[in-house]
Amino acid sequence: MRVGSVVLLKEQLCVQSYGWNTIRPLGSLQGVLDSLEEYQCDEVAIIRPVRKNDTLNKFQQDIKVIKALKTMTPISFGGGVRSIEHLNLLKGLPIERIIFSSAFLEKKRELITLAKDLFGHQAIKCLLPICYQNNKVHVYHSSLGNYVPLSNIDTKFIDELANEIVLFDTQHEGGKDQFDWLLLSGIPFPLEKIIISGGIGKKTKLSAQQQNIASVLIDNKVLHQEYSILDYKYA
Amino acid sequence: MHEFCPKCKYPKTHPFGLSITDSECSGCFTHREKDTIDWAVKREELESEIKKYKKKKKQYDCIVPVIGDAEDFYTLSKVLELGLSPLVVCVNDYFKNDIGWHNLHQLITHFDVDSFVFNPDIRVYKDLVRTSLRKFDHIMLPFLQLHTSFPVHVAYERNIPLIIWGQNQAVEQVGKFSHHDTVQMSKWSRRQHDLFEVETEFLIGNGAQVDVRNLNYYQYPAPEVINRRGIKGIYLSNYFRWDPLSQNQSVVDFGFKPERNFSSFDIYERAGSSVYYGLHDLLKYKRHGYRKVDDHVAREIRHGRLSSEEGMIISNHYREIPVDIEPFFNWLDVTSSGYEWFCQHRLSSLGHLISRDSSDVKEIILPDKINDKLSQSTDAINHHMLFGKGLFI
Repeated sequence: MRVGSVVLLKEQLCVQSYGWNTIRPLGSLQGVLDSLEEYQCDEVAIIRPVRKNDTLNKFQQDIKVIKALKTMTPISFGGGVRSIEHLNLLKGLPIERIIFSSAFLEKKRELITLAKDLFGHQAIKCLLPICYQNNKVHVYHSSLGNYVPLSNIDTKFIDELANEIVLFDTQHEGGKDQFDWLLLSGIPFPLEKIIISGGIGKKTKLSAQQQNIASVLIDNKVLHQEYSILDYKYA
Repeated sequence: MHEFCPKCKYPKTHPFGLSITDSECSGCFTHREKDTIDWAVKREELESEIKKYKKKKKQYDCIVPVIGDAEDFYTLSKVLELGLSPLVVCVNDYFKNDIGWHNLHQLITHFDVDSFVFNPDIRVYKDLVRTSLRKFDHIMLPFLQLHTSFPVHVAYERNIPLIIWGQNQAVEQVGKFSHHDTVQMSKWSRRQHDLFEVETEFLIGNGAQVDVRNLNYYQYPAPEVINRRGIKGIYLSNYFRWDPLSQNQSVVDFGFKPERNFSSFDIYERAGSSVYYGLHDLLKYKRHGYRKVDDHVAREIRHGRLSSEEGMIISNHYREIPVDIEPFFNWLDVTSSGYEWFCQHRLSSLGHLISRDSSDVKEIILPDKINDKLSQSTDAINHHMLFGKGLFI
């Protein structure tokens, strides 16, 4: 199975997020990617952890950093791709896939279809930041800045347009082997289409492999020790 | 957007990066973990971690990289307390004064440990320092490149797979990681935090005309190679409650000699360096807008020995203290006109901080909580001593 990493990009620099509420600095994006490439990381998802206060200008500033990237590792990019204007800025960037979150929750068919036409169906990923609240799975709606019950989301729409779905455990983000498997119990997507992230450890990776999950994306932990990816791959 | 931490006053321009909220920065936030962690459990974790590295035969269990600093005394005392047999590895930065050499020798003799001092080719080293100064306004980069890679080469060549460092600066200064992350040594961390993303190759080519064969030890081995040999580097500050000022005061009992410091109240950290609080500090001010004293103030505010207001007064005082940088240029074999050119063109905004005489510097009254942690300090007599043991070249 693929073993990749999530890298958060905030104000042109990488940051680490813990439990969806604490931000710690990390460093330059190029420096992080250089190391992940050396670690033989299969894919990197670069995500802008934006909420409702994102602006096109902030998006453009971050795009400049993406544009200057030099890497051989396949890149997925997302976070704040909410309009056709945003999408147009992604043309010609060194990225393989686009990650939408709010666009899926708000059923922006026109935007996602255009992305599909521009980059191909295999390039479309849906990010669902999820957690357990009151015995129900909730999804974080980034452009609203709050959680909504998964039952309020049109999962058929997501299944139709997304090639892969990233389930991100927000409560256990930054933790080690803490990914909450209960989150998958109410998820109506085929496991081969699912990528999990948030609190991934070596044991999580092993379980994911046994369940035929497409990929795991390691969060902060990936740079906490030398050559970490290999340890996960052969866990 | 906040430019300074409201609590410890650390600037957002810190080269490691700093996240600042309305109430505090990532450094203050992470520091508070120290009061909630069960350090006895952490120590158990460490003991369990190092168990597999303890060798039964008369071999070294680990490498401890040192410079002869107060922190090295503390680190080495803890390594011995853990029952490990260390090989102490030191890279000569050629910047030590007589106090620096005394401390290095005292460290080795007091703890009675085997040591290995590497003296890099001084022509190559000076060429790299010259280029580093010209291109990056930094004079310590060549040393930092060696200090962070040479012990890893020794670990590989001598098959000693554990390297033990003292503090993880990225955690202690800006709270880049949680203590619970128990972050280990890595090539990425070295480049990001020790080298500020300036690898050796940036210092050659149109800079120093150095044969790459001379640079092997300046370059970090490939992670793949390190991994194959099972080499791991750990930081003791992830396992012990780290309090540098208290720890450094305690090592005076081991014969560590503090040095009088005109640029900060901290008489322990990097005592024995001819440049650390001189040109190096000035260049740090030029590059990042703050001086070493600001690191010390932020640290002491977090440890509760200074209030934010007291910290600001102390920072403002020491930030304006001039330093003598000319001896460094003599060491670098720069002519007097070259020195003057550099001051005029490259340090023009800091001209008021360059002085040949620090004797008329006004003293500042420090709070008792700080004073209680300070010992008797002395002035260095000889500066820029290339070698120790009485040999002065």
